Amino acid sequence: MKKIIFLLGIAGQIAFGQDTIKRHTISLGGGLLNTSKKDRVYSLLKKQGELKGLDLRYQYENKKNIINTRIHIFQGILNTPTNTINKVKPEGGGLFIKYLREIDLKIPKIKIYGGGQMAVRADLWFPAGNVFRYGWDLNAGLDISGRVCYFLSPKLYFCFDTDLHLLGILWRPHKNGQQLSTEKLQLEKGTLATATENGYLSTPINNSFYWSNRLMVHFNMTPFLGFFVASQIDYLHVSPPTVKEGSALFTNIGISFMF
Amino acid sequence: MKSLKYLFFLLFLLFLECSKEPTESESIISDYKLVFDYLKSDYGYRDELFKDQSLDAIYKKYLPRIEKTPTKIELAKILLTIEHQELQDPHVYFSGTEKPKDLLFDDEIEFYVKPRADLFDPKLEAINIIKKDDFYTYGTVKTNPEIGYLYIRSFNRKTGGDSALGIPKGIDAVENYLKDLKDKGVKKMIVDIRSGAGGSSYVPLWVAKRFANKKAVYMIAEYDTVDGFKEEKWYVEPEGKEGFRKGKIALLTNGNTCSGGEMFVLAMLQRDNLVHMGSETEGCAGNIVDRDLANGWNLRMTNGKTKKADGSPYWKVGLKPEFIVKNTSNEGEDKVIKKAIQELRK
Repeated sequence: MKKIIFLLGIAGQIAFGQDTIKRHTISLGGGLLNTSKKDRVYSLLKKQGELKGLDLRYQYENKKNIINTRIHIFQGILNTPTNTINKVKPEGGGLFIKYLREIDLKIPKIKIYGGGQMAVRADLWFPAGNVFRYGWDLNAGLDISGRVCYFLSPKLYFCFDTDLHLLGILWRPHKNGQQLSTEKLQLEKGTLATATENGYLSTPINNSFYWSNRLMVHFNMTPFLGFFVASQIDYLHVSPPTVKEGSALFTNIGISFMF
Repeated sequence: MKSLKYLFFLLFLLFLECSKEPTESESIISDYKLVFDYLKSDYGYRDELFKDQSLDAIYKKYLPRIEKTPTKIELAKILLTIEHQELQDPHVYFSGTEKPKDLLFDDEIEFYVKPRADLFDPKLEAINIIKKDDFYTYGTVKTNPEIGYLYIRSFNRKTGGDSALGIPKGIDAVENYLKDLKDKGVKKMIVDIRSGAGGSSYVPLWVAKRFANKKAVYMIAEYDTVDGFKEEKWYVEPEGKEGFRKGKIALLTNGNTCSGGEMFVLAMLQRDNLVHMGSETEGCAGNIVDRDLANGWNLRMTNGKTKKADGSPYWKVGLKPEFIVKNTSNEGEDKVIKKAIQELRK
């Protein structure tokens, strides 16, 4: 056992280089997602509103490398502004595991990173009422990522992150939602099997455009506790079998524990 | 500098123009067009002719009327005309807490909606009722206790989702009732689906499997995909701890029998030793999906097609019984049950 731990330590040193800066950060943030989306499978009308969102992040950082894990969830009610009766209940979120490595350009107070992430995204639409209608987009794949941080002072810094989906699998419903086979599949094999019945190879060139941009201002109140305000805008445009497109602006505040 | 100010002012005006909210009239006309956008792209029977005219022809026929009088009441009248007099598809209608009918008086609605004359609930004076629950009523015929009776009032109304968890309970009830009837010496059955039972495609199949005595194709479904309609055969076969698979069955339908109820009938018709009587079903083929309009109305329509096992349609024409018997009023005995008893006594 001791040998295994020793070997893992050596592997970590090789992977991340000799370093003297190891920092763990756990962040929790919450806020509102100002959402405007249209899913042609569900309706020809755009759905708008504010959803509630929650972010939980764990980041490991050393001199040159960052590993960031994020769990995001959201839910709420959307509707067409002129239609207060037929509402939709989106529920979803994502799991993102990001690796970034510093690109050393020797610019004072600025750090630039490049890398990528594994991303699982889910946005499921349920009817808020007794109607036969569902819609969703599920995506699991790889993104290309970048980060720029500007350290105004030892306590205050800004970071801008951008992630663009590159390759993955996209799952969408049938062309216009509920089919006879949907209920049968759901009964026999469960909801997950139904949700993943129609899979497509997804790339931004042929059918799946997911692009996220996040700007965060972080203030270290103490060496162990920080406070942040962030604004993240997510764009999506997926096409099979019919188009789903729109954006969500997630404005959130939170706290960080650093150790 | 002055010219720049004018330019910005013009741009500001242009921006105002681009972001202007539609007027109520524009919104009403837009909703009329939206109904047809949905029908032309999502309606399973969109390529059929309705009274020898296409959907596009119907759209153009009423467009001048709504453009001339763009009010919500006028839109309600036009859409009800399209629903009841043009398309006449029982699976195409406006549903939800607010719909076109809600804007009209009863006598105005009667102008559009002309119900069939045989839509009466069963009269059960001839039946010794053992139990009545949310979904079924069962018992035996008073004059012939070896003839059992099962009335299907409702299937599990929701499709899929958490309602699927309730389905085994519902099917257990059917099995328990069939077992009870057999224990009481029942040798023949009346299965009565003269009700609006529907809202599910799989629950009717589950119930029919308790009566099936062989595996057979009972329905052909066509699913709408981006590559066109794709066909799939649906099968019924014997299943369940308990069932009624040998004795003769009289299956009763009328114009209330629709949608999932008709799928049940299709499955039951594959069973040997069964006679179908009553009046033809409503012809609610296909599966349904909902679409919303900007004014709060909800359009429900078929998004796929279903046909009989031999490939012939039952859309809008219904399933015709072997023996046509109708109740003509709510008074008196149930003629259909009476005919069923006569047939099962043979």
